[in-house]
Amino acid sequence: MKKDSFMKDALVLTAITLISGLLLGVVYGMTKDTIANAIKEATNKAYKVVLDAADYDSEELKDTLQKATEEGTLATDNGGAELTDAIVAKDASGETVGYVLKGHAAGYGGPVVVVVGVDKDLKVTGISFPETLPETAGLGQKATLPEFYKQFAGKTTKIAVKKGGGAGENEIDAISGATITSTAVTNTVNASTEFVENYVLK
Amino acid sequence: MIDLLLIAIKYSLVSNVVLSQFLGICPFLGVSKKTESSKGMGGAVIFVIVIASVITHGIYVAFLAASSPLCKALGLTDGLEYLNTIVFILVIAALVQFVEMFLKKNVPSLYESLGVYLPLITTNCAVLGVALNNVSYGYNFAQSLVYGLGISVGFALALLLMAGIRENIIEGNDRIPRSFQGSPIVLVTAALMAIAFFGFGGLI
Amino acid sequence: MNKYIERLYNGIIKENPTFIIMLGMCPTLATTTSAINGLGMGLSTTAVLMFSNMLISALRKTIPERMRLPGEIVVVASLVTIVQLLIQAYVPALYEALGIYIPLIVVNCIILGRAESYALFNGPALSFFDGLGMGIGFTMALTIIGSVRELIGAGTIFNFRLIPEAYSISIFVLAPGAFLVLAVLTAIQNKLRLPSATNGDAPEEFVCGGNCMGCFSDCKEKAPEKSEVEKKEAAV
Repeated sequence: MKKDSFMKDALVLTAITLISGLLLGVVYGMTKDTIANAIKEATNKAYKVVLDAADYDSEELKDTLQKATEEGTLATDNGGAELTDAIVAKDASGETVGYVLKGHAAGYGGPVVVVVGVDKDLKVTGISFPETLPETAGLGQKATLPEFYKQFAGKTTKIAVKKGGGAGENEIDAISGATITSTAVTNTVNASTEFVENYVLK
Repeated sequence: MIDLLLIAIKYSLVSNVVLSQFLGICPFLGVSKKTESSKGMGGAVIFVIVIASVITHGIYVAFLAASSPLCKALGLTDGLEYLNTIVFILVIAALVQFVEMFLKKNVPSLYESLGVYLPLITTNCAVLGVALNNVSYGYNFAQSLVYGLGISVGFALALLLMAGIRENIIEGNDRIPRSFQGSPIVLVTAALMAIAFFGFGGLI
Repeated sequence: MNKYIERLYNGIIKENPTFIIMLGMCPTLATTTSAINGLGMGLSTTAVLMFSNMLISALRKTIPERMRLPGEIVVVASLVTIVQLLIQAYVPALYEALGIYIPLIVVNCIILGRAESYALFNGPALSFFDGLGMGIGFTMALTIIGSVRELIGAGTIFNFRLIPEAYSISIFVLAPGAFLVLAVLTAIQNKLRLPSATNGDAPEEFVCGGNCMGCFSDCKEKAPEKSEVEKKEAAV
């Protein structure tokens, strides 16, 4: 008798769980495409900031990037910077206009994630920060100010960080009091250009 | 190895679960009146979070992820990740029950000290938070284990510190302005602790 | 109809979940970095709360006593996931801002607390309005806290600038600010002797010992629906 009622209780719970699960499956099916579109739109928007193009192909360079990561020279050349995504930017006719790379290097409070746009002549078209920086407010956080990140546009490979102002050709002024953050950003940018130079354009 | 150490330090001190992520605020404020009970609660939370972190990670890898054997067998290319919340919370609820029964039967001494706090843990949002974050951070088994350990040790640390402060300074102190007595002064203390924990920011 | 309006009044003013009963502290502190985030969190919770109350009330005779808690958790978790998927699809910016706190609505004390103390003893329609009232009360509280923090911390409310940026105190949008703002708001309540869980006989006590599950066992005597609950229990 007691066993029966336990079985019944368990059955009711199972039924409720099954119905809930099915319902969730239905809602998931209904929202799946919208969610995928929303995510794609958001990432495309982040890419557009650094390099304007009609279409972004994230598949084409996947294997190349994996090969580069395995060889490990990008990281050793650029203070441990790692690239996580490599995207080909194309215009409306399908012609390649440049490359967008996402990567990170160790900053003061954690990994500094940077999105870098590089054109076919190895010139940096712009950089942006897709995530909140793990850096100190008032110091490293200043990387998000245009005075800092706008410096990168137009520079080419192997950018150097200059402390104390007065940056010359292919140098950028470090944020005062936050050299580690400045270097982390620069290392990621250099890794991006090096990847395009040695693995994509070659 | 280094990355595991970084995870442990980051989540126990730098981004403390209570003081910077606001998970598990309820027990932090509610069970911090006496150091004795905060020790019990802290121990119980460490115990449950570490086990829950590892088990939910295992369930995710085996059944819910797109790359899991179950989803492959069923031909579900998207995985069953939308079931994460519902599966994890049920697993945690069952796990807490199970741990309670197991301790009662086999380790009575431990049950004595942790027992009364165990049923309170199911709705501690830090437990579910750890399980969900393991997935969104893409942690592997070892990382999940260390992450759960870091988070729960951080929780116990904050709880113990708060209990010490309350027991010695706050409770029965007449010099606290009347309107700040009770919960407001505890919240102010939490704010000061959160500022103090900012100091760990430079560690990693 | 009056009964329904009474439920709304009860949730918004008389038993406001944040200011009076002090439930659901985690989202209250974590998601009030700005007015808009507080509002978004409040509305998401309201959506879950209305339907969880209604469903649990409708199922209260179907779910066997022994399976009550797991049954409730399944219902709440499914609703939360549905809300999460909808937000992710149609309001991605909010999804980004609230992050893990959306799935964590499952363990928000308000949801299970209302289910246990109200929906189990009342009809679906009344429970729905109870959830709506509580949700609006929660949303208002979160929006107020969010506005205060945003105003002091960033000088804006709903991104509308009221104070020049140079005068903002950014610690108020960081973690300590959350504790401080809530502390001051509760202190003001104490000062004005407004009814609150932290006022009265035991001023140092957080309601239910600050613990959600505590609400169901240890602190039942403190639950406002005490007499109602006991009457029903006696009848059963």
